[in-house]
Amino acid sequence: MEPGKIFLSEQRGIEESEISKTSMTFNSNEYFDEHKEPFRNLTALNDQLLVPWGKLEVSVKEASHLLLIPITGDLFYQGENKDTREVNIGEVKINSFVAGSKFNIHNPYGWDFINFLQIWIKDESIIENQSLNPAAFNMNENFNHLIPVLPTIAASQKTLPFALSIGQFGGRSETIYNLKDKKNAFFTFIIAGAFEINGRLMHPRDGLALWDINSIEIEALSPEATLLCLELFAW
Amino acid sequence: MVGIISTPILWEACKKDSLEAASSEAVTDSGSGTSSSTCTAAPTETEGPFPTKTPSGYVRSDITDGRSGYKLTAKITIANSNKDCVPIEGAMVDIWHCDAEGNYSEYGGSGMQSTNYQSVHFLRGRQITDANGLVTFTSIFPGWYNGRATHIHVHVYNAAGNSLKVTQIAFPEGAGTAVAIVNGYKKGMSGYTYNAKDNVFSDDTTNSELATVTGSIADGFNLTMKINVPA
Repeated sequence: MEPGKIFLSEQRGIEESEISKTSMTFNSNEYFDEHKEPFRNLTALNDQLLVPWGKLEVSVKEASHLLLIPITGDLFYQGENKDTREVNIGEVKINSFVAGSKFNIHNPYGWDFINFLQIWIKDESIIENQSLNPAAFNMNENFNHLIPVLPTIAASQKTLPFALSIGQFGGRSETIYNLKDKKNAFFTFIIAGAFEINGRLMHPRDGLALWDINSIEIEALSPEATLLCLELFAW
Repeated sequence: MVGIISTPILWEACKKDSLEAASSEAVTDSGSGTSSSTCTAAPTETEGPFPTKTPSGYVRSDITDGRSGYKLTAKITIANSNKDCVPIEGAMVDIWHCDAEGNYSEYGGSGMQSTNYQSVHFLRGRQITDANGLVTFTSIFPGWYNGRATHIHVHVYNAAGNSLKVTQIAFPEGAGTAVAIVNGYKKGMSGYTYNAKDNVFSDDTTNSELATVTGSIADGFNLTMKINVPA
């Protein structure tokens, strides 16, 4: 039996405030469930809604890389030292943080909610904060393909301990993800639509962790089915 | 306003403001991740500002989704092969199978509403086992396709989400069986692959993958199956 663990959307932890709603695939903030421990160095995957003009203040608990991915609407990232970036749909903002760092996320719209993902990957080797330019991907031009978003843009930077791919697919289209090394681990998160992934039925905002595996078969079961794939390096 | 998907939570176009205009007062952080503040008045609805809860509607018993065929009620019991085969409560069971014509969830061109993804993956579903280890699905009797005997795919997870088993359910064959009565729907049985020649079931000499199937076209068919998994 090939090992794997599914993280169902409806089993996520939920925290709501007056301005935001956070759905947590893994234990995060005040949410704890014994079955939702980190997967390898992937410590958090938070799916967030933020009200018009809302501002989230985030503090970093442990040295980690952050992937900030807008799903609906653009956002502003505001780090320390006036490091402010606009992060648009079709981009991923990557930061490396030491513990104790702080940053803000702003909703720039006066009337609309925004939805975005915060993905946290722990890395004790981070010794200073680093803010990379947003990495762009184009799903329309690469329809039915997984787009390698990272680490291609970070070639000049210190190598990141993970690879990120994103793709949008039409119903019944298939692809295969080949891991660079069998010792690496794989995690996928369904952004929209339905998929069958290595014999598992996956619905929107479900996650799936796989390990001890060379390749993953991905089949979209709906139009415009969208997912992201993380390969977590073993080193 | 644009989204990474075509059905964003809010849809209408609007103007973005600069960060300065959108800036607001900060509040102290909880110390363990995210906290929040805003410059706008929070909505006053007692339900909170967010329009939807995550639906739990994917856990469903009827997986037919409007596909035509003879009714099939599948009762599957999950038991622990590491513990005297006692029933497992709270296990998740996914099943999927092809339609009467032998196709899996075909998309587009078949009259399905292609914009509704829920209707695209018909004949697939998930249930959670009860205290007796039982899940019940309502579906249609599967058709068949070239190279395979009639079958239902099953994926069993424990309550934590770990995969316990991926298997397939085989159907009894021969005079008077449901496979013979259904007779391949409109397709007939010419060219059908029987269990003994099936590349999945042919090595199942103890019939551990073979379900019990009773019933009739008029009353519908009932499938019962016990699947032992190491938990």
